[in-house]
Amino acid sequence: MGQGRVELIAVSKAFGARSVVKQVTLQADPGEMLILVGPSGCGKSTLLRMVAGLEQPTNGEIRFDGRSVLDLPPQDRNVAMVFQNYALYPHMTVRENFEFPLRMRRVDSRERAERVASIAEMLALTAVLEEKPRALSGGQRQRVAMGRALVREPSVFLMDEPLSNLDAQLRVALRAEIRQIQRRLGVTTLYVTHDQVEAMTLGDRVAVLRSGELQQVGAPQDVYSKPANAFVASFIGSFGIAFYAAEWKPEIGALQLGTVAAAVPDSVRSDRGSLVVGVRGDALCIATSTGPTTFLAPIEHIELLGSERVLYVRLPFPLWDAKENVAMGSGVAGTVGIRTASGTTAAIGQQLPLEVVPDRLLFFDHAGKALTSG
Amino acid sequence: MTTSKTFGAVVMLGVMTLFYLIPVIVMCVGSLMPDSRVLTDSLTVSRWGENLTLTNYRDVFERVQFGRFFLNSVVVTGGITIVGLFVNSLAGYALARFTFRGRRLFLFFVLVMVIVPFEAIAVPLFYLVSAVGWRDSYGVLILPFVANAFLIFFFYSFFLDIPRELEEAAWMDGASTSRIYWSVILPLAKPVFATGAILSFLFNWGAYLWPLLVTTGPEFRPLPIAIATFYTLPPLQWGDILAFGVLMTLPVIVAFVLFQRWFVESVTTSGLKG
Ligand SMILES: Nc1ncnc2c1ncn2[C@@H]1O[C@H](COP(=O)(O)OP(=O)(O)OP(=O)(O)O)[C@@H](O)[C@H]1O
Ligand SMILES: [Mg+2]
Repeated sequence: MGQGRVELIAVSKAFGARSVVKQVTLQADPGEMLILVGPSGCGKSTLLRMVAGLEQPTNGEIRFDGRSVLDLPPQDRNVAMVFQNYALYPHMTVRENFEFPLRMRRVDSRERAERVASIAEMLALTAVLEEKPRALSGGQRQRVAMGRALVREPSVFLMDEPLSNLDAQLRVALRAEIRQIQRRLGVTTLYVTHDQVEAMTLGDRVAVLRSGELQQVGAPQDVYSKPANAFVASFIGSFGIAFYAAEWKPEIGALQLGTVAAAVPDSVRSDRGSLVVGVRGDALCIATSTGPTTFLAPIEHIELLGSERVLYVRLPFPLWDAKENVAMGSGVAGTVGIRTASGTTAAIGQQLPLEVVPDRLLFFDHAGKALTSG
Repeated sequence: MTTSKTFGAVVMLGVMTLFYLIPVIVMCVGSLMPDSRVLTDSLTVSRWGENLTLTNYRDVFERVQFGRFFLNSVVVTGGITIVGLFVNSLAGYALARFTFRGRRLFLFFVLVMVIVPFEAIAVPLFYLVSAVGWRDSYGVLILPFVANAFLIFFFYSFFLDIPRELEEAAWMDGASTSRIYWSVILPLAKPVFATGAILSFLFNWGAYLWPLLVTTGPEFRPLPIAIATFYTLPPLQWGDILAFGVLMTLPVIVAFVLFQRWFVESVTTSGLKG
């Protein structure tokens, strides 16, 4: 058994004339949890299935621990996969589901029993070992699917939206559980999701895909705070982002954003005159006094999240004319959510006095590419 | 409103059931009456109970080699059903899962063959087997019916509905194609196989035309030809014919009851998401 390093080198996949994955180069280190995230239909599953060996890439190379696996059928790659619909064998009990991959690999019966027992214990499934899948709850089925994949101790573990069929509460609980188990076993994991919250909370690193193209790979925090382009900026983050057209004004030494002049980092300053500013809620703070840098923004929508209250405001700046300015996650297109304590009094329609926090702003050129702020 | 509707439905279903059941009941009752009474009394409920007898059954066994005909029917129908399930399910599976040249054409021909009645091809088929001198054998009675377009299509559409991921999971678990078929597909397909078996049995138990064409003596002839001889063999004895009918129908009912258990036990999709 190898270390579990997975490399994709310029991998492409086309179905007929339709190109679904384009020149993706990506590496997962041994023991790492790498999240593939992107909107529906962007080719995440296809990418995963190519790693599994269920699909052959049209072009490119896939290596495990430095060795090409393109010639290997799925069963010889030592990968295991959890499918979105779990694909449990309906006619077998949980125990038989666990045993099936071991039997196929001719593991002797004593070791089989041991491994099944330990995986069942780890996943809290000991009590239901003799049940058939149909007798289990959604969360249990999900765990059985994980157990069946883990029981043969794969060097690479693939999960395709394993939580998307569960309700929100269970999803959060199982998210933590998956992370724990993955850490404990130290098995390289590629995890596909279209849910950016899942991606942010679960991964060592996150790879963002769009229409088959890799946009950015990095630690969740970096992808959030230094998005490579406007798409990533809009896709990652829970409370919305809005993009505005702004003008660098050398004469005042500041960025003109609507009526507001904002100080910006040097690296942005030297660039072209007109640029795009991405504003998330955390780049705004509620002003306590009025001044030249404050402005008023109407509250359009309020979300109560228990301990906090999110105020969605529409900023009085000229919107950037591009498709990234649509609602991602929660919120209304073109509005930005500001998190406040739940005690805050606010009403829809109220004008909120705001100030921008310049070093939290994101800068892009008009093609949407990030201007590095160093 | 609802009750009167339900009542109407019950009445209608009742009438329809009677319509289908009466001939069967008459057959059973008539088979127990002396020949002289069958035509006059078997439709009169009030006289159903009068001196019933088993002589018709005895006569059936005396007049023809019932055992031989029965055996022939069982061998032929059983052979067609068992070999047919194997062949047709594999064909359906291949159509549903593999990509190969001519797949669409094959599927098209299967659909066409579902529509073509056997009677339309019986004579050309007869010329064909005569040309090679193939008559009077179980083989010639079985082989033409093994591949059955309807059953191929029946299995094909079932396999299409089995989620591909199930097979992919087994594949990744290390199972070979044949192993996947035996360990994953077949257990799921049990109810479908049971249905297929019953359909195949019913299609073929009453076969008359083909056996008549390709067999000459009682050695290989099945039950339907034997019952026909009662109509042509004087004296025409209705009681015997009805008794023969009962003896011929009974196994079908038994087979149905045996397999019925499997219909209900459908587990196809329960391993998947809720
Ligand atoms: N076998 C196939 N034949 C043709 N097109 C396919 C095939 N598999 C996938 N596609 C297409 O490739 C595109 C990417 O599919 P894929 O399943 O990888 O998307 P995804 O990112 O996993 O989306 P989702 O979040 O909805 O699961 C889709 O538009 C899909 O229709
Ligand atoms: Mg997918």
